[in-house]
Amino acid sequence: MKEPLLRVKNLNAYYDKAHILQDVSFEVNDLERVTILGRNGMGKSTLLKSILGLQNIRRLGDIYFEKSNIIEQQIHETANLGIAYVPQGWQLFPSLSVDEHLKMAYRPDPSDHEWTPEAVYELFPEIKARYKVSGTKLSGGEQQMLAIGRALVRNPKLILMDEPSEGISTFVIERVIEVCQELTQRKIALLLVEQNLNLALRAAQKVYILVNGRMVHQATVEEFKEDKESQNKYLGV
Amino acid sequence: MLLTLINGMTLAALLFIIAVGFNLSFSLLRVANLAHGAFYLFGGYIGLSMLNHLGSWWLALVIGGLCTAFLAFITEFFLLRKVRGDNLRETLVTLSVAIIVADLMIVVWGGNPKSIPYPEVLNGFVQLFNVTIPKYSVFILATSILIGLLIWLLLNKTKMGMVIRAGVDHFEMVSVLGTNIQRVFTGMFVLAGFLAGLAGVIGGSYLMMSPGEDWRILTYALLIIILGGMGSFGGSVVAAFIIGLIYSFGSVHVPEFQLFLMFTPVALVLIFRPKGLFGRGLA
Repeated sequence: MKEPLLRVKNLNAYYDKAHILQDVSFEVNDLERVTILGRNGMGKSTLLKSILGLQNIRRLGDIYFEKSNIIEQQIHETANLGIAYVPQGWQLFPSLSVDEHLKMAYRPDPSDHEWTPEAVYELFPEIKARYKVSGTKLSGGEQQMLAIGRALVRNPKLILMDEPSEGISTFVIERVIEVCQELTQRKIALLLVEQNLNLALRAAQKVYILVNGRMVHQATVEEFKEDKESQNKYLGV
Repeated sequence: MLLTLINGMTLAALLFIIAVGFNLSFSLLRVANLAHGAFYLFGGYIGLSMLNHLGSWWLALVIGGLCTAFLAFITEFFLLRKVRGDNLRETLVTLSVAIIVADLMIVVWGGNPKSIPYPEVLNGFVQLFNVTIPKYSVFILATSILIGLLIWLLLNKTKMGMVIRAGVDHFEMVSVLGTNIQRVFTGMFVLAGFLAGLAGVIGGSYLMMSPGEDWRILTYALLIIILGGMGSFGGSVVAAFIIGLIYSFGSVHVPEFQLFLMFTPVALVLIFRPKGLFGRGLA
């Protein structure tokens, strides 16, 4: 059997003394779209940050990305292996224009599914019209588009996306879902952390549930949609 | 009056060269490099020794800048990097470097005021619009404009400039985009050191060099950052002129209030616009 693209094994993560993630294990296969669900404060965002090594989170365990263990690596090394990140709150740069965001992030990839800044503008014409504006002067929806575009032009193998539904209109949420669904054709896998169940279940193929820093449940999206009992138990819907 | 204006602008130009790199490295690394004044004076003394050995002021200028850049590299790479993220220790490291370098300079160059003689070609005066201006003032102004222009181009027209500006905003997000931000930090710190060293040779020919001058220059550079705003290129230009002109006019007309006049606008800015005239503040 083929190795998964991302394999997290017994990951423990700590903010100072607080033990946030406890023995978390899960996998994302090539081109697969995976979502991690859970209520607020269960450690979902911390999980994504731990994969990259952000915010000096102390990490123990193993994180394999295409066979290399990335737990000891520096952030830029992990990023250059092909992991991109769409953070919660977008984290755009006030000093950079829309165009500069895409130009700075752009990492050429000589393939037929390459994302260029032009391709991102085609996908999101709204931000093309505002290409000279500072990244943080855009509306919430436009900032989300730019944050996604910035991840796409990295031409990654995997995108980590943190709460993309936050702060944007239902119209933009639909656009985000479409983009996520299209990722597989563009040879990109997705690891999505989300509160919005509708978005998550439409964007992903596989579901993991995180409760108090532990992985407690795993299912395909089809199974989970039918499983009202688990939805109620873990998410309170 | 006119001469005072020209003196003020000359000092402002010199302070701009000192402050612009300082400001960028401050806002990028989030470290107030308290050794920056020592770097300035170190560059000046190296320049003086080089002039005595090699006989060329221009060569002394370049070597003064390069030696200071190297000192900055050692400070950043071997010391600051070890305590990255711990603000108190970072500041203490730069303070220690400042004190150690200051003492070493007294050992090597002594405590008597010294000055670097300027090259023949910059001696004398030029007539510009019916005004007699010292050639050396013109040189300092032109050099600072050139340096300002080069830094502006670096920041606004190159990919490295985008990385630097983005790093001032969110340096961790820059790493997520695949850039080794530690290297950018080192590069910026070394560039700031180089500019301090250049300014040391230029300033050592214009002002006096003596123990204590390092702290005076550091104070002015800090005033400029607070006044202009952290990380703001335009703010450094404007604030350098404000400080330079206040210094120059103050020392002619009300010498007893000179320092008061320099600190008052800074205090007012801190009260009414804590991020500085052009600063956005840091996230």
